[in-house]
Amino acid sequence: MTPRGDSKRRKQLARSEVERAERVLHLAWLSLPPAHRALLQSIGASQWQAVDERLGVSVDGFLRSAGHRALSRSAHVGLDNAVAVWIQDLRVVLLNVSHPALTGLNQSAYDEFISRTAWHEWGHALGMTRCLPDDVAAGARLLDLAPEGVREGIRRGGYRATEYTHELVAETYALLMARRHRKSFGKPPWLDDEIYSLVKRVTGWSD
Amino acid sequence: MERLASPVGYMLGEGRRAEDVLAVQAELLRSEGIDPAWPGFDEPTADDTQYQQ
Repeated sequence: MTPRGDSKRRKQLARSEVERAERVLHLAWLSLPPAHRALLQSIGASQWQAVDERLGVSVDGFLRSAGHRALSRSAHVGLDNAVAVWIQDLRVVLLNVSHPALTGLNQSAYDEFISRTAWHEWGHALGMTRCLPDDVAAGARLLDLAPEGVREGIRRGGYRATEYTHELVAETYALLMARRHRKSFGKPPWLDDEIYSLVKRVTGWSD
Repeated sequence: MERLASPVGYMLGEGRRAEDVLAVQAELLRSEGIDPAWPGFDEPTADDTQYQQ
């Protein structure tokens, strides 16, 4: 695999920095609603790992070690640009804690970003299997109902239209967790009723 | 040997950085009167640990 250009800007973390990131992920896990942690554990989806390398490399390694075929080249390249990933078949969340997009963050912003990214991925883990085909088919319409910044973020992520609903559920879950972590509960005024209902139905969100 | 469907990663998009994601979140929180400053984490309690990884 040819190294990508962004690898030139990538900062290799010290082991202690990776361990610190693991600690933050652990605390983010503990901040989930207990019922969600229990559900994730019951479906074997409570594993995560902070990695200090491009995710194409990590995911490929996880798949091979589990006896599966290697990623296709295009999937490898795509995942190299990702900050995190939920591998549904292996029930594990991987987070690239040295992704170039995190360079220059102060400690507080770094902790917040990797926490909300983990919440985003656990939102996927909770919701992906309960999204109905009609939910997936409604992705483009639902995205139009999302707050502007969320909508533009998902559009700029380069996802296919069939992935919009999953990304919207995961990102909304992360935002609801960000509110909950600040002791704010209930439906936020900036969130469309239909999206809120969807997130409640597929993730079990109950605040 | 089986090749699984490729997982889809969390993509920020070309030129988009972590600060941009946090800024969107901060704007939404601020719009409803919530202080967007990161509160950090409390130390876990004994009850928390029953669902540890």
